[in-house]
Amino acid sequence: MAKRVLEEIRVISMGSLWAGPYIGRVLAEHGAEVFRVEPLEPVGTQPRIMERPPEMLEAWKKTLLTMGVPKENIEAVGTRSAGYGAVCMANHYSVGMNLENDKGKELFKKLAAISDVVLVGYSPRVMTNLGLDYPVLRQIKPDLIMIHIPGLGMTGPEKDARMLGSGCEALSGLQSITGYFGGDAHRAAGFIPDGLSPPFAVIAIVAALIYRAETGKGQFIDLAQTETVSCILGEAIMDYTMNKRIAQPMGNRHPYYAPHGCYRCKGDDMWVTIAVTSEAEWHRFCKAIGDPEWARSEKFADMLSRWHNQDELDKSIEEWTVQHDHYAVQEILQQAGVAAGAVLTMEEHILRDPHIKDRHVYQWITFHDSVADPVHRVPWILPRTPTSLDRRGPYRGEHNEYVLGTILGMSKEEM
Amino acid sequence: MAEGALSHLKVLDIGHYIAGPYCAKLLADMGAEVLKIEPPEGDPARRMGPFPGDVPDAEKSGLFLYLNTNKKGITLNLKTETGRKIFKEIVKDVDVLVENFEPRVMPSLELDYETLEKINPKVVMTSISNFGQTGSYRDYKAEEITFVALGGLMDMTGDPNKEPIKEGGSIVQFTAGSNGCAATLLAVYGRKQFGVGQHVDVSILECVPTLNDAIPVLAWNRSRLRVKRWGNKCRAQLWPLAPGDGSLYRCKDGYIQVTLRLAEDMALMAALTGREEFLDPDIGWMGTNSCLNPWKVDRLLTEAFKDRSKEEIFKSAQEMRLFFGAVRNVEDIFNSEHYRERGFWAEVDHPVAGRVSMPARPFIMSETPVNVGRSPLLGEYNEEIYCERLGYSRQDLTRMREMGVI
Repeated sequence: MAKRVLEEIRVISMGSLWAGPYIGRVLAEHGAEVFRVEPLEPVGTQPRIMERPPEMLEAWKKTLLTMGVPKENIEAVGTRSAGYGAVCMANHYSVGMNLENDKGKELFKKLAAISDVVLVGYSPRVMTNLGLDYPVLRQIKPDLIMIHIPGLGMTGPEKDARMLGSGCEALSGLQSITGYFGGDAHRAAGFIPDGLSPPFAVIAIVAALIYRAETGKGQFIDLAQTETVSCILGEAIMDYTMNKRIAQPMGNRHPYYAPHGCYRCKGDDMWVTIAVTSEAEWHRFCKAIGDPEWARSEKFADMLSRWHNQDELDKSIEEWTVQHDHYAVQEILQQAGVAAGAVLTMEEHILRDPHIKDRHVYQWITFHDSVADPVHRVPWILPRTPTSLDRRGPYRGEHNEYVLGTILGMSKEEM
Repeated sequence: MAEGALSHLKVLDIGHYIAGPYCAKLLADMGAEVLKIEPPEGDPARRMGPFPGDVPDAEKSGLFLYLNTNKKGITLNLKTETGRKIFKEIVKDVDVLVENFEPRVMPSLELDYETLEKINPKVVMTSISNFGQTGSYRDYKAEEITFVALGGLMDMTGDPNKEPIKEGGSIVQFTAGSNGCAATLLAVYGRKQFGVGQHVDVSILECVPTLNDAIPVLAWNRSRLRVKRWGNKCRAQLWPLAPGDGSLYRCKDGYIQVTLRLAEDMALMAALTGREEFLDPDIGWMGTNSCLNPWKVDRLLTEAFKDRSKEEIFKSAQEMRLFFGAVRNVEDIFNSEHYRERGFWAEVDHPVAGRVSMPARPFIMSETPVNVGRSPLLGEYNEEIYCERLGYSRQDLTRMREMGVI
């Protein structure tokens, strides 16, 4: 059987919420043995299963009703919901250690001595305060690769700011260019920094593994989640550094193309996106929607005119889209070679979209409470070195026996 | 100076626009030797802005200058027989090939993985495409907005009573470039161990689920709730959250991002804003992240910051250990003392565009530098590669130019 790329690699992963565990999961999907070292007691920011107290549940259900959520959906709302942990920590092993006391520190050092990578999601000062920072661990394991992923990095005047994904997103510049055209800054829907810093962290870790394989040297990696987001704002950043122009929210508009937007379709709050990027596409687009009279107007004669008259253009297009299902618009226009994509609800995206199904993007993993949840695989396929996503996120300390006993060779009494 | 982590890696980049070039740029900035092949008319990114002074110039596109740092560049027309012959000659000697054409293109040029593998069995070929190399939408057209729509992110972005909006910029395509780079390096590491090359299939669409928050996925799966757009406010549909996680409020010079998690935060808010109403018991805190009357807090926050600046609020709130963030724009991040001190910005000298500032690196490695350099001019290395490396004469170069090969 083909081997997975990181089969021989051992990783210690610490820290909570989304980014850190997701990095660990990517490494684990490629065969690394990832040990989550966790405090013995649950702490507030580490939701595995989120419990909803009954009185809150009742209050919440009332809120949902006033928001127009159908009754049958509200009744399905339970007191438990899988948290981030359950999803992100798939394929991980969990071992509980109290790093505040000397015994716990000794155990951690033993585990570090047989590990290749230590991944830390805590704020910059935590490992130093514990006496377990890179200079210390390096003495135990000279070729160790250690990576920290704090919101603002390990150095600099703001390094100790308290940050979650949303704060990083605010500081990165992304929210200042997201929003309706001419309108307010806007948050993105997900937590972009939590999803974006993982590929960068994996790049750094694997590049360090490659370098270690060639030279025998480990190293320390400082990744600031906020900076990774700033790095991907290419056009806006270069427009500032070259022209001192401060990019503003563009809504669904494109700097050059029109039509380029999101249009209402048949159904409750259903939409489709359309992007026409050349004159040839514009002619195919017009033909596909039945050559309407308005499309022949001077106002829409070329890309520049269309760009300047796009409010009117969008209204006319919407008169057509609103008569159709969003998938129907997508298919009609894609057949004509125009970039159209339905705005999918989560349910459509995960459960119904034929392409997502074809590509087996989601695997269903049964979590602690016997409910199977969809978990997306990495966005790539390596045909000769398989990946696997098959074990649910662990309970805290679920693998104490395996990690302490089998891996570190402790006896039952010692544990 | 120390060598980059990938200084032994040889990469051939035939990418265009964003995703492929960004993947290869990251490899180049970590020390890989990257040769970029452009068609004779240049990478289309050269024709996209921003341009200095808004004057289009193929050598001054900010997007191109940022995405092609540290690469050597040649021109080669893969649509010609001679072009393909030369391409195969170059492929023999590389570790990695990066491309982001539509999946039909490489087979139509008879340069598909199966062909190239025969020439170089250990090559890692990374193909970044809109929807991946297989599946129903394989040959569909897509732009940035198409990805966020089909990926489920857009349905949740925007105000409840307006149309959904896309996230700013081209972030999904950049994200695909970074995921493509991660996948490439995993394949390179696999090749080191097992001696096999492979065809890495990266889907830009599949990068969207990595950016989606897990909570809406779970909310849908467990409660069949459709997570609709919640504007800049709390996601009361998912959870009666207190007025964060991450709501935005207007202040004097922009916006401040607010996350409140605990009942204890209310005393801090009263101190921060001088408004005693934050202490009212009818807000009804019920543990971490949850209160019965988040809308009341929302109303208070809407009024609280109007006369204060975002950086002053950010600083004061952080001193109280509250999870606040100033909504910084590109000018703010360019002038950020924090970014300066960390060396986030680099200045790059370019023979035509002059001195240009850009992000220096996405992360810092202690032993091996990660840093930008300059991008190549169109066909700048033709002579070095074709004459010195591949042994063509200068007259051959002229002939090939005449034939439309380079």
